[in-house]
Amino acid sequence: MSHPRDFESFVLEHQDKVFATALRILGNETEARDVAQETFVRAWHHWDDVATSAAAAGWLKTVARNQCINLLQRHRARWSTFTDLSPDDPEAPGFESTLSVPETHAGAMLTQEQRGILERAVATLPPDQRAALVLYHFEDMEYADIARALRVSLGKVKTDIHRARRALYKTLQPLREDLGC
Amino acid sequence: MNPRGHIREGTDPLERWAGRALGELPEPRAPRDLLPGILERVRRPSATPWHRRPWMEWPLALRWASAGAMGLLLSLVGLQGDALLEAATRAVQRVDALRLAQDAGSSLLSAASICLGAAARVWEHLPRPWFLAVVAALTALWISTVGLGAALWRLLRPIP
Repeated sequence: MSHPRDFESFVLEHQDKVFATALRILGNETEARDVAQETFVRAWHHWDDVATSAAAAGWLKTVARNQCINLLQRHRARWSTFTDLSPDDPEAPGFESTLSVPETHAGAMLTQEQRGILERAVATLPPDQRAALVLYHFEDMEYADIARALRVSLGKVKTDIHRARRALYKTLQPLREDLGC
Repeated sequence: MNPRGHIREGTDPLERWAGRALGELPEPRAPRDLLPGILERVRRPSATPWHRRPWMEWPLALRWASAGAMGLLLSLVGLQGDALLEAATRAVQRVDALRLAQDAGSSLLSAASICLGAAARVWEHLPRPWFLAVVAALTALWISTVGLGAALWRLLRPIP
């Protein structure tokens, strides 16, 4: 084992990214903290390898992400009941026209206040929508990989991500109008 | 997390909007008590002796030694199984343990036969249809309670 001080520096260096990954996927600070803690404890158990690895940051994110997905799957029995009630098909004709986004709005220029609102809106999305959205937009995963990771169909992933984007857009739309955007 | 400036661009305007808007969100900071909590947890196992920890957390040398010992044992059993069994039987006979085991076994058998005999006599004297109806009702009640309990547990259990 390396000197404990090295591990402390390692945690300080990576804790924000690991915590942010967990918090965005889970939307719950307590659970995100537990996941981050468990991730670093695992790093400690593999410290001989992790300490010298150039891919340590990626390893930490993958471990954290997998833990979040496992946690979500344990919760799914509860929330799938509600989110599967009206399955939209994102590939069906007219699906995207349910909400038209003017091209002028495509370039987001958010104010501090809007960022805060958007952050809260992401945190309050239904867990399956939030997880799919975060894995796509923040973790750069492809639809098929997200479906495989969350053990749901590709259609559901697309639907969830679309619903999440639509919900976020709707949350910010009134503000945009108020601000004259 | 998406590095700043790396925004996924799709063909759908909503996707583009979401990509840009989410890309503007600041990265959440880890809470201050995260590091102390981690350090407390990584120090805790060192107070636990290695043999009480999961095998994966044993010192590396001990893991290798235990894997080697297990391999040796398995190959011994595989190659010299009959000879080992014979030697073990001889050793047991030497301390007369087999006879003791036989005595214990026969005592258990006689106790079991007494219990079974008593149960058979009770069974003979029970009013059969009434008894069967009660057993069926109790079984149905038990199954429905367990089923209902399991369903309620799944629905109402608190998220850990």
